[in-house]
Amino acid sequence: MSAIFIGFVLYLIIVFCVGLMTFRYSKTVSDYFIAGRKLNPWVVAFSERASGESAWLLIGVPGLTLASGFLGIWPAIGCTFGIVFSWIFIARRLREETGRYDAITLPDYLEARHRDSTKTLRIISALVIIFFFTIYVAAQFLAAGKVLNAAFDIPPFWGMVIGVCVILFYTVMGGFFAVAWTDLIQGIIMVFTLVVLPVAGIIYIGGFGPMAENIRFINPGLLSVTGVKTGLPLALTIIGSLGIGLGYMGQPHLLARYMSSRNKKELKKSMLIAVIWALLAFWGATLLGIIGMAILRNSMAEGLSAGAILKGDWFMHIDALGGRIDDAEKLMPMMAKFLTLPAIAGIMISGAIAAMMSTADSQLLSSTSAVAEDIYHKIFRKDAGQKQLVLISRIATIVIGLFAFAIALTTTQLVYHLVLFAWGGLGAVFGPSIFFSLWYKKTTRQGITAGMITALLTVIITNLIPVFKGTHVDLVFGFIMSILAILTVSSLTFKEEP
Amino acid sequence: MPFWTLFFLIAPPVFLLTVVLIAYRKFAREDREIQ
Repeated sequence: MSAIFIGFVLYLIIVFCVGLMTFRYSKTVSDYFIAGRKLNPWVVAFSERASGESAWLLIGVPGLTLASGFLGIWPAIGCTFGIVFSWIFIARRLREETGRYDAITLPDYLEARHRDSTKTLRIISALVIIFFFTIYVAAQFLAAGKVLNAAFDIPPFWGMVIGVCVILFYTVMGGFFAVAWTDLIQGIIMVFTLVVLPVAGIIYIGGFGPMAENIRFINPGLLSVTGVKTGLPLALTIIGSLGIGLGYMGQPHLLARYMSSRNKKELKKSMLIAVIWALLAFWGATLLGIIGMAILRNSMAEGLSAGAILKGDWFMHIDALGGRIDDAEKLMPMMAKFLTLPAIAGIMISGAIAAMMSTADSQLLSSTSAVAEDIYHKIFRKDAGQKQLVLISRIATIVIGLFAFAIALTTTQLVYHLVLFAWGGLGAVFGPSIFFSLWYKKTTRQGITAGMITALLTVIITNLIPVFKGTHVDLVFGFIMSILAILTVSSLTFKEEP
Repeated sequence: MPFWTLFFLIAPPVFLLTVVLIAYRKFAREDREIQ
């Protein structure tokens, strides 16, 4: 059995143990969905970061910069600005307000904040959460199949089955407690990978000077932040990449992390931890692709085939002048195997699987809360007891998980497009709605309803226009339209209270 | 390395860390005042 596989099995044993150990803590729906607002600042910070970044950060971002050079720095800039904005302007305020209204979910908060007796806000927001998160979780399951296939040669179907079973087990057992504590472990592995690998790579290549020289040889344009693009394609790439950051303040599974903090004061410590994590991880992931490109070029310049240097199993078709390999997204596992010891590489590859799991479990829990708490409890069974609600929530987690698995089995869409669509939809629908509900007194129920519907329609329509497909501009357009709708309708419907 | 590449590599993290530290101090002051 390889050291990498042993590392992965050890990781699975740890998350199983966390599931078992946290089972007894989930006695109420508040425990199951926001850990009873009892989490310490470190767990809150790592849980928010690990849930916020899927395997995209460990695999997608290095792959992007390997393919496009420093043009790939824009998503890192957009995301880190978005993360900082959300921690400063949303986290503390949302924790305070949801505590005051005793709101467990976002629909709870929106309904209480706008005194919505018609349940319109609750129903719309719960349906949006269920729709986008089911797609999102399905995309994470698909990614699990791919990563396990690439790492251990497990067929993608069985890779997905393993991913689904592990996530469902510990999420159903321990609810938010299990998800948050496994996030802490997963977040540590992720940031460890993204700091150690670029440092090892830069030592291997001999510093930033030789790195730049090797890349300049491939194509000097790869050293520029505008890459080799110009005009409209460049503008759309930069706007879209920066726009990804707008999504953070509207992701219900991340906002739930703020709500789970012991109190508002401790969130400032969480903010510091989470932002340092984000800067290390995003800059590490960006540099990893660039350094990988330099190592490939360096290996070829030494007269050795890069395939031989890099163990020959992934970098099969290197075109030094184009800087291409057969699959750019396999760079991280390959670099881990090449630059570190097998046992450490095992932990790092498990990190990619951990990144996927830490996102999928949080999203699964958020969609469960929309079904069990927002719809079943608050609309159909107001008199249900806590024990019954926790049981219903556990059943709902299993049903939604299996439904997402069925979508993952039948979809023909690429993971990347599914994730883009869900991230854009949730970010545009909830971002402006939550921000204005927290900060603008004159926001009304009608304004928020109009904002959410406008954002949803804008994201769907933008995705149908071919020129915008594959960019993040759907989120930018949805965000702007939602802000306009909220402000216009709120100003028309706001009435001063007597 | 080109100037703008170095700028975008260094400036955003430095700027964001500064902003977060200022926010941290402001929140700490608010929390002390509430106490």
